[in-house]
Amino acid sequence: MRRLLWELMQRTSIEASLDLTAVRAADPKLFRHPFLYWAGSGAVPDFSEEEARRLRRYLTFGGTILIDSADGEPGGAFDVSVRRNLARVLPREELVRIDNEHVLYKSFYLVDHQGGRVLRVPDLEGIFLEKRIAVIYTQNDLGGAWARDSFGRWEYSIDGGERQREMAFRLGINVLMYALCLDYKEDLVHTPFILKRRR
Amino acid sequence: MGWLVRLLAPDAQPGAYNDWKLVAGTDLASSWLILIALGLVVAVVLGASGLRRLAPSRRRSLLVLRMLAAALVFALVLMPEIELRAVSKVRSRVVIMLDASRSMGLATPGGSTRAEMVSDHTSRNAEELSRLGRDALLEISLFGDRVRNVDGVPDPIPSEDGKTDLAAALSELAVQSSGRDLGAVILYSDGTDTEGLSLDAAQRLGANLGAPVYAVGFPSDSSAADLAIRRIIADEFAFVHNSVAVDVEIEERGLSMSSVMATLKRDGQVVASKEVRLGPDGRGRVTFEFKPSEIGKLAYEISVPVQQGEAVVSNNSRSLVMKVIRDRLRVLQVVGRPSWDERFLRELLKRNPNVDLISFFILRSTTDLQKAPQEELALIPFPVAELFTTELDTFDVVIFQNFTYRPYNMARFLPRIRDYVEQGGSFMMIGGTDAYEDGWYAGTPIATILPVRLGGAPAWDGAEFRPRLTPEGRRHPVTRIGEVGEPPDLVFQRLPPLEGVNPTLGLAEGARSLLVHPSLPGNPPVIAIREVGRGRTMAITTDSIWYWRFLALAEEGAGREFDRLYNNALRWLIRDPELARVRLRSDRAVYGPHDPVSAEVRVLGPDYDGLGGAEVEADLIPIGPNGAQGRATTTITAEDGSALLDFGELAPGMYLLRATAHSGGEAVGAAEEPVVVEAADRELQNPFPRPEILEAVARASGGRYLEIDEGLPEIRLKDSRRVEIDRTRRVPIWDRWPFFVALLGLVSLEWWFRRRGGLL
Repeated sequence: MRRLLWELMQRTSIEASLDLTAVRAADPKLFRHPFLYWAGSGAVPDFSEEEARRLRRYLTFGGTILIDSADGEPGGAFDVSVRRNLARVLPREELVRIDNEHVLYKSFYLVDHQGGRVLRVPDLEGIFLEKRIAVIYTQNDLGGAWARDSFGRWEYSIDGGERQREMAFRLGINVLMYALCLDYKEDLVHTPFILKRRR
Repeated sequence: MGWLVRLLAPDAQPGAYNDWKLVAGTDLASSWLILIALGLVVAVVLGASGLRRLAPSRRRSLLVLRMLAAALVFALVLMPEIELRAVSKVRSRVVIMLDASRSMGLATPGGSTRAEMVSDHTSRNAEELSRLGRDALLEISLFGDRVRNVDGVPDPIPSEDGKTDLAAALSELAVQSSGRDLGAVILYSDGTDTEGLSLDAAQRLGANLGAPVYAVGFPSDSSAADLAIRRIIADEFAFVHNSVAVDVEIEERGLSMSSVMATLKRDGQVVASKEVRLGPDGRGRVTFEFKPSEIGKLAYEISVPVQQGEAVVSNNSRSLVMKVIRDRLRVLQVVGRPSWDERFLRELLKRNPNVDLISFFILRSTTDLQKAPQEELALIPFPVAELFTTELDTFDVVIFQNFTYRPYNMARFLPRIRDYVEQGGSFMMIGGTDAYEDGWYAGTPIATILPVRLGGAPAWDGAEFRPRLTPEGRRHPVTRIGEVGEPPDLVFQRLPPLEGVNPTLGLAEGARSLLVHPSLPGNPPVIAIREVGRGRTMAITTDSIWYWRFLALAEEGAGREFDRLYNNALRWLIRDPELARVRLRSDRAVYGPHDPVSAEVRVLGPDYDGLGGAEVEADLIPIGPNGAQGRATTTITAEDGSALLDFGELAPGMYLLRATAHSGGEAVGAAEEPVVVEAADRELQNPFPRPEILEAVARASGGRYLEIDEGLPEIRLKDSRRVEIDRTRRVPIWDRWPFFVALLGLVSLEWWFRRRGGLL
């Protein structure tokens, strides 16, 4: 994630802190950070009642979570845990496929391919609260594609080559841009430019 | 009729009675009559009950006999009488209506006034009028402001009334019947109805009158030379920044003009000028289209140049007051870089159905790396020139959020933003590392409109702080963001502390601070406001207000304070009338030359309830070069916060009525409203004769229209339906032998039938 933030600052006007903060779902500091990145592999424990309540409030009032499965295995332990926990946090909502035409895919880059260490699922999934995507879920291990070691080398090789890694960065930047600008790129003023470039 | 009189009153002289009526002579009270009627009904029913075993035809005959006998008994009880009458028809009335309005005082080409020509016409037709007086009752009325009866045709006929209301005058004829039918109306007028009587309405008026109208008028070319603005057609309401059309009808007589320049002005400044083509009938029409740039009541003047030899010059200009409202609030949000502060503000503004938000976010600066070809980026050029030249005036509020102008070659547009504010626009700067001093605004035109001073202020201070309300902030609507009844200071103590501030050199001249930094030297403003020219500006010197929207949720708050702060800020910036604590309402927008001018002022307390005892100073300030002398008055509000401002009659011109209220030594607020006093009263605004109106009334009524130089024709009176009774004589008919014979016969016949039927 730190590498993504570094790229974000290099490529966009956004200023970000490279000091990542880990927070627990029940921690009041959660609300200092309107964007959460939850990555993992294997089974994760269930949220407590208080944690689920806090996260529900967080997401309902404007927070965004990017969930990134490093399992590379749809239906794997992490995937099952995530879906079970999300059902507790937002019991009336469900994860749905995010359409390729969604503003998320044009919030900064015009993205028409998925990126990640692996390509196990063709689309992002998300939970929509009103019209906003509050939860974005990928099972293609974006974090694996972003990661560098302390010597600056990529930690993982990518099945689809460097283009797929670049797409992972672009997708990550688009997700962060979406969290900050929402549907800005759907304003009428952008439409003719975007249509022209997509032709 | 003669045989009846001879039969009933043989002693009466022939022809003594010409009418009769059947009347009841009994003195019995109606209750008695009802009881008797019921008794007779019972007698009939009892009689019928014993007839069951008879054949149906016989049963019916007996029943009819019993009913006839009962009816005859009841008739005897009523004691019927014939009332013989000597009646005669009532003479109908003929009303001569004389137009006494001011337009009748205008000269005709022959030199005489219209009223003098009417006077001459009545003299010339005295014989016909005298004949009428024998057949009908002649009444003479003057009409204009109101209808009043006079004993004879006045000499001279007055021409002083300020309006002509033909519909009201003719309608009043039906009410003032004086017990006689209306036989005919002789109407003398120039037809210059000031109440907007249309031809259709005139026809309906004539058709409904129920008597012929003989209208005597003036030909349309009988007016002295004049050029006038005949009519202005415009909506009472318009939307700000949206095109509005004002149609103007112009008319000339006797000046032989083929065109004229019409000018639309506001506050003495020309908005538009157009050439108007005048047709052969001297009439022309022009449409002014323009976009009002501010909300509120706006006064406009439309004028045509005065020509030599005009009979009336005051009708060469007319005014209208238009209430300009906004359809949706147009907000331009320019953001230097995406941030949480921007994100939550955009979300709030997008959610508001009354806001039309145009956002421009700088997503990539010139120093950022471009790791993808342009066609793979969803970026668009920042349309600086378009936004800050052609489009700028269409926005109600412009927000610069952590935005510096320097990388975008924008310096040349900053004066335009300053001018936009001075002319009534609103501007808000929200802080961050690229705003205020750090945004290089010191010494720019933007610095001259900001509520804070720049030029050597310290750089961005990223420390956490809890802002402090100023005394002004405790009362100001922008910072009233707590729950109902919550003390303002407590609100800011319970909200999360903020982080990061743009220190400034303090308040600019005329600015007010609502929220300040508690510990930095000089307590620099965190929220400050300022009136600049006709516009307003606001400075928020931090980029962490979003903490009140999202971080507040951690402490189980709802984040409403963030919403309220920005909603209040927008309402204050656009001068939302609902936020004003002083409200003005003049009793009308456009006054005639002799109308007293008055207005009601209402002063509200911080809780927006009426504030009694407030001191109100009101000034009427002339606007533009034609304005006359101003007036001033002071008053104290009543318990409900209202007070009446009375200025009496004013000289013609446009005025700005400004009321300023103080309570307990502190300013409450001020309100303004335009007031227009027109030079020409309604009579002279459109002084040309309108014979077509008179003709429509006359024709529809079955009468005739004639011009002032024609003699009166034979006046055909409508038949009178009213009669008067000169004498009566009552002759009883119940005590005569045929009545008793008939009764006896009926009873005998029933007895005979019953006996034959074996019932006796």
